[in-house]
Amino acid sequence: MNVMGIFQWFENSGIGTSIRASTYDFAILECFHLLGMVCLLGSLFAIDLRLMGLGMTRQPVAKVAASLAPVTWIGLCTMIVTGLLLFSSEAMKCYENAAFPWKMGCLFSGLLLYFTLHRWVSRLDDARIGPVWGKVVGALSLALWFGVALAGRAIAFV
Amino acid sequence: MTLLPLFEWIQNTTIGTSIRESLVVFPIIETVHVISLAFSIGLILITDLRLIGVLMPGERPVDVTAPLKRWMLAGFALMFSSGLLLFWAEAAKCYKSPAFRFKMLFLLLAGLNALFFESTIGRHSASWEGMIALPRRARFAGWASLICWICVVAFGRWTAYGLN
Repeated sequence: MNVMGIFQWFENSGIGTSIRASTYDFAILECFHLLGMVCLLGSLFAIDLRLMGLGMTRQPVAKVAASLAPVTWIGLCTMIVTGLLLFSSEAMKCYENAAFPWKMGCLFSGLLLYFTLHRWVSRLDDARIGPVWGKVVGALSLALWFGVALAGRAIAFV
Repeated sequence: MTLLPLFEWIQNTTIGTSIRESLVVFPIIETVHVISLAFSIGLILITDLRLIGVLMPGERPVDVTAPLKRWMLAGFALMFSSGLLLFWAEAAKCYKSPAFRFKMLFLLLAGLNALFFESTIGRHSASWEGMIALPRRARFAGWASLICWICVVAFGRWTAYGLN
C-alpha cells in the first residue's frame, strides 16, 4: 500500500466518514484538540524555559520536569486521539496540503527529541547538565513544538 | 435600540475591512492568537493547578507562579492585541454569535477572579510555605480560573466556526 492508499483508507474509514457528515463533531473535536494543545505547549514551555535557565529557577530542572510530566502527557494523549480523528475526516485534504508534511515533520522530530535528549537532560542533576546542553535542548524543543503549532494552523489556510 | 450598527461600523472601518479581506494578514493574526493562547493559557493552567493543590504541592505557590508571570503576561498581551484585531475585522459576526457572548462573559469572569484573588488572599501567598492544602478561597480561585479559561477557549473556537 502506498502513502496515498493510507490516506485514502483513513478518509474512507467509517469514523472519518461519520465525522465528515456531522455538523458538530469536527468543531467539538477541534475544541478538545485546542485544550490538549494548551496543556502540552504550556507544560513544555515551562520545562523548556527552566532548561534554558529562565522561569522556575529556584527548583531543579528534574523536579520541574517530573512535576509537569502528567500535564504534558494528558495534553499529548488528548492531541493525538483528537488529531487522528480530525485527520481521518479530511485525510485527502491533508494529503494535498502543503503545510501538513511540515506539521508531521516537526511533530515526529519533537516527539523524538522529547523521548530521547529532552528526557535524558531533564532527569540529570542541575550540576551535570552544564550551561550549554540545557539551553540547546530547551531551545530546540520550543522551536519544534512552535513549528507544529504554526504548521498546524497553516493547514487551514494554505 | 441595538448595538449592531456600532459593531457594523467597527467592522467596516478601513482597518477592519483590510484585515478581513487580506488573504495574508487575517491568517497571520489568527496564528499569532492561537499560538500565544497556547503558551499563556498553558502557564495560567500551571498556576491554577498549583492553587488547586494538584501540581508541586510541596512548593510555595509564589515560587511556582512568580517566575512564570512575565512570560504569561507577554503571551497574554499578544493574545489580547491579536484578538482585538480579529474582533475589529469581524465585529458584526461576533455580535451575532451567541458563542462569542459566552466567550466574553467567561473572559470577564476570569479577569474578575484574578483581580479579586490578587487583591485579597493572593497577597498573603508568600506565607503559604509547606502548605499542601491551600486556604479554601485560594483553591476556589484556582478552580474558577481553570473553568473560565477552558470555556473561553472552547467558546472562542466555536465562534470561529460560526455554529450556533
